[in-house]
Amino acid sequence: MTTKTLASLNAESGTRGQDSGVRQVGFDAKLKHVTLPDLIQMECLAGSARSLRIVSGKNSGYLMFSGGQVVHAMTRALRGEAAALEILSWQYGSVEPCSLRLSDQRTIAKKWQELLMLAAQRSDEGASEGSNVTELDDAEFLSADEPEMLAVAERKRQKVIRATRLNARGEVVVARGEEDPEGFAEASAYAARMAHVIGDLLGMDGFRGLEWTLPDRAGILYLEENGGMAALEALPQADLTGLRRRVGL
Amino acid sequence: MSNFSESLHGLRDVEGLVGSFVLSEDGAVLLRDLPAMFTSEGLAEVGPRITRLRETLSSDGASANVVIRYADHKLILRPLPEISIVAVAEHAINMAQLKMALNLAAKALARADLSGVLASAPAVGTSAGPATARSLTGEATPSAQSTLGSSVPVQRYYRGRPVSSA
Repeated sequence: MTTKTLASLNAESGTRGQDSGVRQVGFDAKLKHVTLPDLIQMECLAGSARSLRIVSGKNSGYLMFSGGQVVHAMTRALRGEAAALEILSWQYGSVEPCSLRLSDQRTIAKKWQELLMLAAQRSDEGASEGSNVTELDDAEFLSADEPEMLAVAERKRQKVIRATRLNARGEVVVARGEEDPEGFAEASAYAARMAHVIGDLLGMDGFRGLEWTLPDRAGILYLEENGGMAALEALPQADLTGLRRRVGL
Repeated sequence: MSNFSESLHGLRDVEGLVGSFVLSEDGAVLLRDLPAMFTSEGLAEVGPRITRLRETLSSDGASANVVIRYADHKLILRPLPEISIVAVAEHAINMAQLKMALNLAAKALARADLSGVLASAPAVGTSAGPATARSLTGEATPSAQSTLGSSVPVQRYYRGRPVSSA
């Protein structure tokens, strides 16, 4: 998991400390390439009592810690252990502390070690299934600066024909693939603009993304929360279900 | 013409369908089965843009089936030879049912004689002002100014770039 910023992990307590004139012990930090299990382990070993907000693409969820354990988790659709396992299945994103109140009722009974073991087991099972059902790993284009994620995705990469990612200013952040990836970036940007305009003209707000299918490929384009967009084309047998669900299409 | 109307009207059997319309290759609205809030002027502007979107996403001469997702609605584009069916649907529509209904509508339209409708199609971009792509790309798109049945060759676009029709 790559964290955009973890500088604020201690920011809340640090800020309070400065306001009250009491210097807090500890460092603010910016970390990259940290996995969620790593973070959970850190929080639990520190015995912290706070909540973290995890954002991964269009998904978001919360993990709450108390007494050296993960005591509560929730996503848009799930609560408790199921939510924690769902969050732990996300492969990239950002983490930040949040002020969400801890629930009085503990919804996760498992110890954090058991939770991580279960998540790892499910991940292995998912990877095994994925190799059979041509699961698509979008990490290779979503994270331009994460070589280790590229390596993980390498075995699935042949399913992706080309992929691109543009930031909110329309600058191409990622353009990959053997089939004119730069042209694909331009085409994706233009298609997104057309879809916006078509929606405006028909009175349909909130363009989120589009999908297209051709005899030799399937494509998906979606807007990101930061105003950017990502798009990919994959072979017809590639399973885009996970990506579609992850980005909320 | 009545066959066309019945074909589109049949789509409404699918719960959540707002309406549908048929576009020519150049984006002219040939037929519509939509609530009155969708004005002809608005559709005349939408048509060429849907065509440009479809051509942008198409590859090697194959036209793409496209689903555009908005907050509360979907726009489903089903290309056919010479025409496209566009369905406007609520977000929660049953896509399997809609696809089946579109298949049936496509068959009905494919069986029908299109020549009369195509010949009487309105000129693209003339009823709603200059619906060109100038404001989007900085240069006018000839296809938005062309006229169906005209002897002037229509400039084709592939991924936003002009291509030879030869």
